[in-house]
Amino acid sequence: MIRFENVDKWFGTLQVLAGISGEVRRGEVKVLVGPSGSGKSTLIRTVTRLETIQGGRVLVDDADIASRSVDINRLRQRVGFVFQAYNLFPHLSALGNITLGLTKLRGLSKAAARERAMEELARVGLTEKADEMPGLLSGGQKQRVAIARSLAMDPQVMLFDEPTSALDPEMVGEVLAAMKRLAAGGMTMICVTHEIGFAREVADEIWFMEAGRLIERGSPAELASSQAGSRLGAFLRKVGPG
Amino acid sequence: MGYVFDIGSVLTGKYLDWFLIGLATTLALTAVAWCLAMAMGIILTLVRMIPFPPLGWFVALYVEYHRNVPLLVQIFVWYFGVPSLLPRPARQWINAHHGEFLLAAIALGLAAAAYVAEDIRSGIRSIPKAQYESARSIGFGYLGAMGYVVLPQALRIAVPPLINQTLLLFKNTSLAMAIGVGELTYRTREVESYTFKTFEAFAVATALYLAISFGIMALGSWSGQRLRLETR
Repeated sequence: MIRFENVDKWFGTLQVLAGISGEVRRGEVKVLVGPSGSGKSTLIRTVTRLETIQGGRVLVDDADIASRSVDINRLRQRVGFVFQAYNLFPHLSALGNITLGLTKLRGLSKAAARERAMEELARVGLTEKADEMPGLLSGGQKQRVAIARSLAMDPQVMLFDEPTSALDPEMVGEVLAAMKRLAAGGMTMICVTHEIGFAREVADEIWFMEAGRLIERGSPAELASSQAGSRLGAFLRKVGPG
Repeated sequence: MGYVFDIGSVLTGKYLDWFLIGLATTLALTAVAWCLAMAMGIILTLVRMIPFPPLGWFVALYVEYHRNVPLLVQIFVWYFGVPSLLPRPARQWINAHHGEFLLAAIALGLAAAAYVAEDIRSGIRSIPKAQYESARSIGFGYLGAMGYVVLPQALRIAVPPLINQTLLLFKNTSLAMAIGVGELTYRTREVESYTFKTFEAFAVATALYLAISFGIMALGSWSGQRLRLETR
Protein backbone atom coordinates (compact mmCIF):
# COMPACT_ATOMS: atom_id res chain seq x y z
CA MET A 1 0.00 0.00 0.00
CA ILE A 2 2.79 2.42 0.99
CA ARG A 3 6.41 1.67 0.21
CA PHE A 4 9.49 3.69 1.04
CA GLU A 5 12.50 2.88 -1.15
CA ASN A 6 15.81 4.34 -0.02
CA VAL A 7 14.30 7.67 0.84
CA ASP A 8 16.79 10.51 1.36
CA LYS A 9 15.96 14.03 2.39
CA TRP A 10 18.13 17.00 3.22
CA PHE A 11 17.30 20.34 4.79
CA GLY A 12 20.19 22.24 3.28
CA THR A 13 23.27 20.30 4.30
CA LEU A 14 21.49 18.41 7.09
CA GLN A 15 20.36 14.95 6.11
CA VAL A 16 17.06 14.33 7.87
CA LEU A 17 16.15 11.06 6.17
CA ALA A 18 18.86 8.60 5.21
CA GLY A 19 18.07 5.57 3.10
CA ILE A 20 14.70 4.76 4.63
CA SER A 21 13.07 1.63 3.24
CA GLY A 22 9.97 -0.08 4.47
CA GLU A 23 6.51 -1.17 3.55
CA VAL A 24 3.07 -0.72 5.02
CA ARG A 25 0.51 -3.25 3.79
CA ARG A 26 -3.23 -2.83 3.73
CA GLY A 27 -4.75 -3.06 7.20
CA GLU A 28 -1.42 -2.76 8.99
CA VAL A 29 -0.67 -0.32 11.80
CA LYS A 30 2.91 0.90 11.96
CA VAL A 31 4.03 3.04 14.84
CA LEU A 32 7.08 5.26 14.43
CA VAL A 33 8.97 6.02 17.61
CA GLY A 34 12.26 7.71 18.31
CA PRO A 35 13.74 10.85 19.81
CA SER A 36 12.65 14.30 18.64
CA GLY A 37 14.33 15.33 15.41
CA SER A 38 14.89 11.77 14.29
CA GLY A 39 12.84 12.29 11.11
CA LYS A 40 9.62 10.45 12.02
CA SER A 41 7.30 13.31 11.16
CA THR A 42 9.27 14.17 8.07
CA LEU A 43 8.98 10.58 6.88
CA ILE A 44 5.19 10.45 7.05
CA ARG A 45 4.97 13.93 5.55
CA THR A 46 6.73 12.61 2.46
CA VAL A 47 3.81 10.24 1.80
CA THR A 48 1.48 13.03 0.73
CA ARG A 49 4.26 15.21 -0.62
CA LEU A 50 4.04 17.72 2.24
CA GLU A 51 7.82 17.24 2.07
CA THR A 52 9.73 16.61 -1.12
CA ILE A 53 12.51 14.07 -1.14
CA GLN A 54 15.91 14.23 -2.80
CA GLY A 55 16.61 10.54 -3.18
CA GLY A 56 14.67 7.28 -3.44
CA ARG A 57 10.96 6.81 -4.00
CA VAL A 58 7.72 6.83 -2.04
CA LEU A 59 5.00 4.66 -3.55
CA VAL A 60 1.33 4.62 -2.71
CA ASP A 61 -0.51 1.71 -4.34
CA ASP A 62 2.59 1.13 -6.48
CA ALA A 63 2.48 4.65 -7.92
CA ASP A 64 5.48 6.91 -7.34
CA ILE A 65 3.94 9.95 -5.64
CA ALA A 66 6.55 12.22 -7.23
CA SER A 67 5.46 11.18 -10.69
CA ARG A 68 3.65 13.68 -12.87
CA SER A 69 0.84 11.24 -13.55
CA VAL A 70 -0.18 11.25 -9.89
CA ASP A 71 -2.90 13.78 -9.08
CA ILE A 72 -1.65 14.88 -5.68
CA ASN A 73 -5.02 16.34 -4.65
CA ARG A 74 -6.76 13.02 -5.31
CA LEU A 75 -4.00 11.14 -3.51
CA ARG A 76 -4.41 13.38 -0.47
CA GLN A 77 -8.11 12.53 -0.31
CA ARG A 78 -7.14 8.86 -0.10
CA VAL A 79 -4.47 9.46 2.54
CA GLY A 80 -5.79 11.16 5.67
CA PHE A 81 -3.36 13.26 7.68
CA VAL A 82 -3.79 14.29 11.32
CA PHE A 83 -1.50 17.00 12.64
CA GLN A 84 -0.08 17.54 16.09
CA ALA A 85 -1.62 21.02 16.23
CA TYR A 86 -5.03 19.78 14.92
CA ASN A 87 -5.15 22.59 12.35
CA LEU A 88 -8.91 22.87 12.41
CA PHE A 89 -10.27 25.77 10.37
CA PRO A 90 -11.16 28.30 13.09
CA HIS A 91 -13.72 30.14 10.97
CA LEU A 92 -15.87 27.03 10.52
CA SER A 93 -17.85 25.06 13.09
CA ALA A 94 -16.82 21.51 13.95
CA LEU A 95 -19.40 20.33 11.43
CA GLY A 96 -18.30 22.92 8.86
CA ASN A 97 -14.73 21.68 9.13
CA ILE A 98 -15.89 18.22 8.12
CA THR A 99 -18.43 19.16 5.45
CA LEU A 100 -16.07 21.55 3.61
CA GLY A 101 -14.21 18.80 1.78
CA LEU A 102 -17.38 16.77 1.26
CA THR A 103 -19.26 19.58 -0.47
CA LYS A 104 -16.42 21.27 -2.32
CA LEU A 105 -14.32 18.26 -3.30
CA ARG A 106 -16.78 15.38 -3.28
CA GLY A 107 -19.71 17.39 -4.58
CA LEU A 108 -22.09 16.13 -1.92
CA SER A 109 -25.22 18.16 -1.27
CA LYS A 110 -25.29 20.12 1.96
CA ALA A 111 -27.77 17.69 3.51
CA ALA A 112 -25.79 14.61 2.49
CA ALA A 113 -22.53 16.14 3.68
CA ARG A 114 -24.13 17.01 6.99
CA GLU A 115 -25.38 13.49 7.44
CA ARG A 116 -21.97 12.05 6.60
CA ALA A 117 -20.23 14.49 8.95
CA MET A 118 -22.59 13.63 11.80
CA GLU A 119 -21.76 9.95 11.32
CA GLU A 120 -18.07 10.75 11.72
CA LEU A 121 -18.68 12.99 14.72
CA ALA A 122 -20.66 10.16 16.30
CA ARG A 123 -17.70 7.83 15.74
CA VAL A 124 -15.48 10.16 17.78
CA GLY A 125 -18.27 10.86 20.29
CA LEU A 126 -18.79 14.54 19.53
CA THR A 127 -22.25 14.85 17.95
CA GLU A 128 -23.29 17.37 20.60
CA LYS A 129 -20.40 19.65 19.59
CA ALA A 130 -21.33 19.76 15.89
CA ASP A 131 -22.18 23.44 15.82
CA GLU A 132 -19.41 24.56 18.17
CA MET A 133 -16.60 26.72 16.82
CA PRO A 134 -13.12 25.18 17.21
CA GLY A 135 -11.97 27.97 19.50
CA LEU A 136 -14.46 26.77 22.10
CA LEU A 137 -13.43 23.08 21.99
CA SER A 138 -10.83 21.46 24.24
CA GLY A 139 -7.62 20.17 22.68
CA GLY A 140 -8.82 16.59 22.79
CA GLN A 141 -12.12 17.53 21.18
CA LYS A 142 -10.33 19.49 18.47
CA GLN A 143 -8.13 16.53 17.66
CA ARG A 144 -11.13 14.21 17.49
CA VAL A 145 -12.86 16.61 15.11
CA ALA A 146 -9.67 16.67 13.04
CA ILE A 147 -9.72 12.87 12.91
CA ALA A 148 -13.40 12.91 11.92
CA ARG A 149 -12.60 15.47 9.21
CA SER A 150 -10.00 13.16 7.70
CA LEU A 151 -12.18 10.06 7.99
CA ALA A 152 -15.09 11.76 6.26
CA MET A 153 -13.08 11.74 3.03
CA ASP A 154 -13.01 7.90 3.19
CA PRO A 155 -9.23 7.58 3.22
CA GLN A 156 -7.57 4.23 2.65
CA VAL A 157 -4.69 5.16 4.95
CA MET A 158 -4.47 7.44 7.95
CA LEU A 159 -1.24 9.18 8.93
CA PHE A 160 -0.97 10.55 12.46
CA ASP A 161 1.78 13.05 13.25
CA GLU A 162 2.12 13.06 17.05
CA PRO A 163 -1.62 13.53 17.48
CA THR A 164 -1.51 13.60 21.28
CA SER A 165 1.71 15.53 21.89
CA ALA A 166 -0.02 18.88 22.30
CA LEU A 167 -2.69 17.54 24.64
CA ASP A 168 -3.11 17.64 28.40
CA PRO A 169 -2.63 14.16 29.86
CA GLU A 170 -6.32 13.66 30.63
CA MET A 171 -7.22 14.31 27.01
CA VAL A 172 -4.69 11.91 25.52
CA GLY A 173 -6.90 8.94 26.37
CA GLU A 174 -9.92 10.08 24.38
CA VAL A 175 -7.84 10.59 21.24
CA LEU A 176 -5.98 7.30 21.62
CA ALA A 177 -9.32 5.55 22.14
CA ALA A 178 -10.57 6.93 18.82
CA MET A 179 -7.38 5.76 17.13
CA LYS A 180 -7.64 2.29 18.66
CA ARG A 181 -11.20 1.91 17.40
CA LEU A 182 -9.98 2.92 13.98
CA ALA A 183 -7.20 0.36 14.07
CA ALA A 184 -9.60 -2.33 15.27
CA GLY A 185 -11.82 -1.50 12.29
CA GLY A 186 -9.00 -2.46 9.94
CA MET A 187 -7.74 0.98 8.91
CA THR A 188 -4.22 1.12 7.52
CA MET A 189 -2.30 3.53 9.74
CA ILE A 190 1.10 5.05 10.29
CA CYS A 191 1.34 6.77 13.66
CA VAL A 192 4.16 8.91 14.92
CA THR A 193 3.78 8.95 18.68
CA HIS A 194 5.52 8.88 22.01
CA GLU A 195 2.67 6.83 23.47
CA ILE A 196 4.51 3.56 23.93
CA GLY A 197 1.52 1.87 25.56
CA PHE A 198 -0.53 2.62 22.47
CA ALA A 199 2.28 1.26 20.28
CA ARG A 200 2.46 -1.98 22.24
CA GLU A 201 -1.27 -2.49 22.08
CA VAL A 202 -2.04 -1.52 18.50
CA ALA A 203 1.08 -1.71 16.37
CA ASP A 204 1.67 -4.58 13.98
CA GLU A 205 5.20 -3.30 13.80
CA ILE A 206 7.16 -0.59 15.58
CA TRP A 207 9.77 1.33 13.63
CA PHE A 208 12.46 2.99 15.68
CA MET A 209 14.16 5.96 14.07
CA GLU A 210 17.18 7.90 15.12
CA ALA A 211 19.09 10.63 13.26
CA GLY A 212 17.19 10.08 10.03
CA ARG A 213 17.72 6.32 9.99
CA LEU A 214 15.33 3.47 10.57
CA ILE A 215 17.51 1.52 12.95
CA GLU A 216 15.21 -1.10 14.41
CA ARG A 217 11.86 -2.63 13.57
CA GLY A 218 9.73 -5.47 14.80
CA SER A 219 6.46 -6.44 16.37
CA PRO A 220 5.95 -5.18 19.93
CA ALA A 221 6.49 -8.75 21.21
CA GLU A 222 9.74 -9.22 19.28
CA LEU A 223 11.06 -5.89 20.46
CA ALA A 224 10.04 -6.57 24.03
CA SER A 225 12.04 -9.80 24.09
CA SER A 226 15.09 -8.41 22.30
CA GLN A 227 15.13 -4.90 23.62
CA ALA A 228 17.22 -5.43 26.74
CA GLY A 229 20.50 -4.23 25.31
CA SER A 230 19.32 -2.45 22.20
CA ARG A 231 19.08 1.25 21.46
CA LEU A 232 15.29 0.89 21.31
CA GLY A 233 15.31 -0.75 24.73
CA ALA A 234 17.20 2.19 26.20
CA PHE A 235 14.77 4.62 24.54
CA LEU A 236 11.71 2.77 25.79
CA ARG A 237 13.05 2.73 29.34
CA LYS A 238 13.61 6.47 29.16
CA VAL A 239 10.12 7.35 27.88
CA GLY A 240 8.74 5.18 30.65
CA PRO A 241 6.54 2.16 31.02
CA GLY A 242 3.48 2.08 28.85
CA MET B 1 -18.34 92.28 10.12
CA GLY B 2 -22.06 91.86 10.59
CA TYR B 3 -22.12 88.35 9.13
CA VAL B 4 -25.42 86.67 9.95
CA PHE B 5 -25.18 82.88 10.18
CA ASP B 6 -28.31 81.54 8.50
CA ILE B 7 -28.17 77.82 7.88
CA GLY B 8 -31.82 77.78 6.81
CA SER B 9 -31.03 79.79 3.69
CA VAL B 10 -29.03 76.95 2.14
CA LEU B 11 -31.34 74.18 3.32
CA THR B 12 -34.38 75.13 1.31
CA GLY B 13 -35.75 74.47 -2.14
CA LYS B 14 -33.32 73.69 -4.88
CA TYR B 15 -30.26 74.15 -2.64
CA LEU B 16 -31.42 71.35 -0.40
CA ASP B 17 -31.99 69.26 -3.52
CA TRP B 18 -28.47 69.97 -4.69
CA PHE B 19 -27.01 68.81 -1.42
CA LEU B 20 -29.05 65.64 -1.55
CA ILE B 21 -28.16 64.94 -5.17
CA GLY B 22 -24.51 65.60 -4.31
CA LEU B 23 -24.67 63.26 -1.35
CA ALA B 24 -26.30 60.55 -3.45
CA THR B 25 -23.61 60.93 -6.10
CA THR B 26 -20.86 60.76 -3.47
CA LEU B 27 -22.36 57.58 -2.05
CA ALA B 28 -22.79 56.04 -5.50
CA LEU B 29 -19.20 56.92 -6.40
CA THR B 30 -17.98 55.42 -3.14
CA ALA B 31 -19.98 52.24 -3.72
CA VAL B 32 -18.83 51.70 -7.31
CA ALA B 33 -15.20 52.51 -6.51
CA TRP B 34 -15.36 50.29 -3.42
CA CYS B 35 -16.55 47.25 -5.38
CA LEU B 36 -13.82 47.82 -7.93
CA ALA B 37 -11.22 48.28 -5.17
CA MET B 38 -12.23 45.03 -3.47
CA ALA B 39 -12.30 42.98 -6.66
CA MET B 40 -9.02 44.41 -7.93
CA GLY B 41 -7.43 44.18 -4.48
CA ILE B 42 -8.23 40.47 -4.25
CA ILE B 43 -7.04 39.86 -7.82
CA LEU B 44 -3.75 41.68 -7.12
CA THR B 45 -3.28 39.65 -3.95
CA LEU B 46 -3.84 36.37 -5.78
CA VAL B 47 -1.63 37.37 -8.70
CA ARG B 48 1.15 38.29 -6.30
CA MET B 49 1.04 34.81 -4.79
CA ILE B 50 1.67 33.07 -8.11
CA PRO B 51 5.30 31.99 -7.96
CA PHE B 52 6.35 33.74 -11.18
CA PRO B 53 8.56 36.78 -10.37
CA PRO B 54 7.48 39.15 -13.21
CA LEU B 55 3.90 39.01 -11.91
CA GLY B 56 5.12 39.97 -8.45
CA TRP B 57 7.06 42.90 -9.93
CA PHE B 58 3.98 44.03 -11.80
CA VAL B 59 1.90 44.08 -8.62
CA ALA B 60 4.67 45.89 -6.72
CA LEU B 61 4.81 48.51 -9.49
CA TYR B 62 1.03 48.83 -9.39
CA VAL B 63 1.03 49.36 -5.64
CA GLU B 64 3.90 51.85 -5.71
CA TYR B 65 2.35 53.91 -8.51
CA HIS B 66 -0.98 54.20 -6.76
CA ARG B 67 0.50 54.92 -3.36
CA ASN B 68 3.05 57.49 -4.48
CA VAL B 69 1.36 59.52 -7.19
CA PRO B 70 -1.14 62.13 -5.92
CA LEU B 71 -4.66 60.87 -6.29
CA LEU B 72 -5.71 64.01 -8.16
CA VAL B 73 -3.06 63.31 -10.78
CA GLN B 74 -4.33 59.74 -11.10
CA ILE B 75 -7.84 61.06 -11.64
CA PHE B 76 -6.57 63.44 -14.34
CA VAL B 77 -4.72 60.61 -16.02
CA TRP B 78 -7.95 58.65 -16.25
CA TYR B 79 -10.12 61.58 -17.25
CA PHE B 80 -7.85 63.40 -19.70
CA GLY B 81 -5.21 60.85 -20.56
CA VAL B 82 -6.85 57.49 -21.01
CA PRO B 83 -9.79 58.52 -23.25
CA SER B 84 -7.37 60.16 -25.69
CA LEU B 85 -5.86 56.72 -26.24
CA LEU B 86 -9.21 55.13 -27.01
CA PRO B 87 -10.84 54.88 -30.45
CA ARG B 88 -13.37 57.57 -31.30
CA PRO B 89 -16.57 55.50 -30.76
CA ALA B 90 -15.39 54.57 -27.27
CA ARG B 91 -14.73 58.23 -26.48
CA GLN B 92 -18.19 59.17 -27.70
CA TRP B 93 -19.76 56.45 -25.62
CA ILE B 94 -17.91 57.69 -22.53
CA ASN B 95 -19.01 61.28 -23.15
CA ALA B 96 -22.61 60.22 -23.62
CA HIS B 97 -22.66 58.12 -20.43
CA HIS B 98 -21.40 60.37 -17.65
CA GLY B 99 -17.81 59.58 -18.44
CA GLU B 100 -16.55 61.73 -15.58
CA PHE B 101 -18.39 59.61 -13.01
CA LEU B 102 -17.19 56.36 -14.52
CA LEU B 103 -13.57 57.46 -14.91
CA ALA B 104 -13.46 58.96 -11.42
CA ALA B 105 -14.80 55.68 -10.02
CA ILE B 106 -12.12 53.76 -11.92
CA ALA B 107 -9.33 56.07 -10.73
CA LEU B 108 -10.51 56.01 -7.10
CA GLY B 109 -11.19 52.28 -7.14
CA LEU B 110 -7.86 51.30 -8.67
CA ALA B 111 -5.96 53.53 -6.25
CA ALA B 112 -7.80 52.09 -3.25
CA ALA B 113 -7.14 48.59 -4.63
CA ALA B 114 -3.42 49.10 -4.00
CA TYR B 115 -4.12 49.64 -0.30
CA VAL B 116 -6.70 46.85 -0.19
CA ALA B 117 -4.14 44.46 -1.67
CA GLU B 118 -1.63 45.43 1.02
CA ASP B 119 -4.21 44.97 3.80
CA ILE B 120 -5.29 41.57 2.51
CA ARG B 121 -1.69 40.53 2.13
CA SER B 122 -0.97 41.32 5.77
CA GLY B 123 -4.11 39.40 6.66
CA ILE B 124 -2.91 36.38 4.69
CA ARG B 125 0.54 36.60 6.24
CA SER B 126 -1.00 36.39 9.68
CA ILE B 127 -2.67 33.03 8.91
CA PRO B 128 -0.38 30.16 9.96
CA LYS B 129 1.01 28.13 7.08
CA ALA B 130 -0.41 25.06 8.81
CA GLN B 131 -3.91 26.18 7.80
CA TYR B 132 -2.93 26.09 4.14
CA GLU B 133 -1.17 22.78 4.62
CA SER B 134 -4.17 21.34 6.41
CA ALA B 135 -6.50 22.33 3.56
CA ARG B 136 -4.10 20.82 1.02
CA SER B 137 -4.01 17.62 3.08
CA ILE B 138 -7.75 17.20 2.73
CA GLY B 139 -7.26 17.36 -1.03
CA PHE B 140 -7.85 21.01 -1.89
CA GLY B 141 -5.69 22.50 -4.61
CA TYR B 142 -4.02 25.88 -4.31
CA LEU B 143 -7.15 27.82 -5.23
CA GLY B 144 -9.45 25.78 -3.00
CA ALA B 145 -7.12 26.10 -0.01
CA MET B 146 -6.83 29.83 -0.52
CA GLY B 147 -10.48 30.38 -1.34
CA TYR B 148 -12.13 28.29 1.34
CA VAL B 149 -9.61 28.35 4.15
CA VAL B 150 -6.95 31.06 4.00
CA LEU B 151 -8.80 34.01 2.46
CA PRO B 152 -11.93 33.79 4.64
CA GLN B 153 -9.71 33.99 7.71
CA ALA B 154 -7.41 36.63 6.23
CA LEU B 155 -10.35 38.83 5.23
CA ARG B 156 -11.69 38.68 8.78
CA ILE B 157 -8.39 39.99 10.05
CA ALA B 158 -8.27 42.55 7.26
CA VAL B 159 -11.73 43.95 8.03
CA PRO B 160 -10.66 46.74 10.42
CA PRO B 161 -7.98 48.14 8.07
CA LEU B 162 -10.36 47.70 5.12
CA ILE B 163 -13.04 49.74 6.91
CA ASN B 164 -10.35 52.38 7.33
CA GLN B 165 -9.69 52.28 3.58
CA THR B 166 -13.41 52.61 2.95
CA LEU B 167 -13.43 55.76 5.03
CA LEU B 168 -10.48 57.18 3.07
CA LEU B 169 -12.12 56.23 -0.21
CA PHE B 170 -15.34 57.95 0.84
CA LYS B 171 -13.48 61.16 1.68
CA ASN B 172 -11.33 60.99 -1.46
CA THR B 173 -14.42 61.06 -3.67
CA SER B 174 -14.41 64.84 -3.10
CA LEU B 175 -11.44 65.03 -5.49
CA ALA B 176 -13.75 63.96 -8.31
CA MET B 177 -15.16 67.48 -8.36
CA ALA B 178 -12.00 68.48 -10.18
CA ILE B 179 -13.25 66.69 -13.29
CA GLY B 180 -16.80 67.89 -12.85
CA VAL B 181 -18.46 64.96 -11.10
CA GLY B 182 -21.52 66.42 -9.37
CA GLU B 183 -20.74 64.94 -5.98
CA LEU B 184 -21.22 66.58 -2.61
CA THR B 185 -18.25 68.98 -2.66
CA TYR B 186 -19.04 70.06 -6.21
CA ARG B 187 -22.69 70.73 -5.32
CA THR B 188 -21.63 72.58 -2.19
CA ARG B 189 -19.52 74.92 -4.32
CA GLU B 190 -22.58 75.49 -6.49
CA VAL B 191 -24.77 76.33 -3.53
CA GLU B 192 -22.07 78.65 -2.27
CA SER B 193 -21.70 80.54 -5.53
CA TYR B 194 -25.47 80.96 -5.90
CA THR B 195 -26.12 82.08 -2.32
CA PHE B 196 -22.77 83.56 -1.19
CA LYS B 197 -23.42 81.71 2.04
CA THR B 198 -19.94 80.19 2.08
CA PHE B 199 -19.79 79.21 5.71
CA GLU B 200 -23.29 77.76 5.80
CA ALA B 201 -22.79 75.75 2.64
CA PHE B 202 -19.61 74.13 3.86
CA ALA B 203 -21.06 73.61 7.33
CA VAL B 204 -23.78 71.50 5.74
CA ALA B 205 -21.23 69.57 3.67
CA THR B 206 -19.07 69.01 6.75
CA ALA B 207 -22.03 67.70 8.72
CA LEU B 208 -22.99 65.33 5.92
CA TYR B 209 -19.42 64.00 5.49
CA LEU B 210 -19.10 63.54 9.25
CA ALA B 211 -22.40 61.69 9.52
CA ILE B 212 -21.45 59.20 6.82
CA SER B 213 -17.92 58.80 8.21
CA PHE B 214 -19.28 58.03 11.66
CA GLY B 215 -21.66 55.55 10.06
CA ILE B 216 -18.75 53.76 8.37
CA MET B 217 -16.78 53.72 11.62
CA ALA B 218 -19.74 52.32 13.54
CA LEU B 219 -20.10 49.61 10.92
CA GLY B 220 -16.41 48.88 11.42
CA SER B 221 -16.59 48.36 15.15
CA TRP B 222 -19.81 46.35 14.85
CA SER B 223 -18.34 44.02 12.23
CA GLY B 224 -15.09 43.81 14.17
CA GLN B 225 -16.99 42.39 17.12
CA ARG B 226 -19.13 40.11 15.04
CA LEU B 227 -16.21 38.65 13.10
CA ARG B 228 -14.01 38.00 16.09
CA LEU B 229 -13.56 34.27 16.58
CA GLU B 230 -14.20 33.19 20.13
CA THR B 231 -11.59 31.13 21.91
CA ARG B 232 -11.46 29.47 25.29
